[in-house]
Amino acid sequence: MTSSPTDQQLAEAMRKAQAGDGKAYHQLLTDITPLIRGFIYKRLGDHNELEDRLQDVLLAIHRAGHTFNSDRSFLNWMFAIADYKVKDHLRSHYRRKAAGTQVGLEAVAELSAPQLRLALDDRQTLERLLETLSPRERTIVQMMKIEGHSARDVGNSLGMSEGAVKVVVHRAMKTLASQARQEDSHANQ
Amino acid sequence: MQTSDLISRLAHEGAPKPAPKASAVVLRLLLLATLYFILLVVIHGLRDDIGQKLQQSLFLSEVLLMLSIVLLSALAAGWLSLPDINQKPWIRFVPLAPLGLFVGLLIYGMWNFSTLTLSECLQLSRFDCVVRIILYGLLPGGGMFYVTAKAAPTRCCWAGSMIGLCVAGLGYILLRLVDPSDDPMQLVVWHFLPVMFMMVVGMVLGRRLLGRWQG
Repeated sequence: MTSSPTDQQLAEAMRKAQAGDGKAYHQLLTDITPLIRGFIYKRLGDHNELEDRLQDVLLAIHRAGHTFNSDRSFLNWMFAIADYKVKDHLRSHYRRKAAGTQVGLEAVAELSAPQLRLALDDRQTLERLLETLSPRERTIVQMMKIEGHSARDVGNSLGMSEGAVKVVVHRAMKTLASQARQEDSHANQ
Repeated sequence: MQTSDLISRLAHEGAPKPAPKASAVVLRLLLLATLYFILLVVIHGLRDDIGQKLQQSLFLSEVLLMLSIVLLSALAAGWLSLPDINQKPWIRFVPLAPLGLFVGLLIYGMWNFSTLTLSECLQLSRFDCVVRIILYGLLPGGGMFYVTAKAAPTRCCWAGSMIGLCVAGLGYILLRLVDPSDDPMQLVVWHFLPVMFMMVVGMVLGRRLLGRWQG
């Protein structure tokens, strides 16, 4: 069993990554993933959004990478970012809950399942479902799923990385699937 | 998307190059702000009795205290732009010490030297002082917000309020050097309260603008 990398080893790996060593960066992100997963698990529990939050934190670490100075503790820096993203998620979660738009997250594929019966016209339903998304999510879903653009094209036009676009659309599709299922269950009552 | 795929994509993009240290960035911003400040002094012209005023210990203390507030709040804003501010959590409170002394100095001046009552002071309607403090702070404030937003602040309200305090403090010092108003009541109402207002505005703007981490 390999031991966890030390703070100094991680700081050194980050220093190499900032100098352009892609392999060191890949190894660093792989090494910190279980640490961050454990951190999020302690705060959110065995949550079906655990992987989403983990990916949010990895993206945030990537975006904030220029603020790391190898004179300081890497783990402290990393966990400060993870803590911030978890709190940010909880703030959004409770804000949505207070606004009455709280949705659970289920499988993505059910959105286009033919057995899904909706009481209203499909276009109206689709527009209503899209309104439950944030403006950014709505734009990305419209560009990718309706207009057919690739994640790379969407990322280029919105100033986001391809990876970030895919994470956003993945979450948005889960939200839409859940909303559609709720509408279906109301229609059947 | 699987986490392993995300890691591969991020590794392919590569880690961003390290930014200059916070202290270096703060120093650069302060130098720019000083040049801007000197330009404004040249445009407005110093007050006629500036030589005499600089020999008064109370005036000198007031200006130097506000200058220390400006410098320390700039330093705090620089550190607050980093996500791991928890390594020096005390830094965000450092400007509050001279701020407290400054408030004490103003209160002392109000009790002992003020010739105006509060209602008389309000009737002066020196809204031009308020507008000037806000306008003087727009350009350096915008610059500091831009630089801080490019970093990764996790205490966005604190960072914003420190920026507001820093730029409004500069405006306060400028007004003291160019405007002949000296009554302590007037200084509190028409000069100092706008500084506090800018600190609150900075806090609100910080919350809205600084959490997005554009990189």
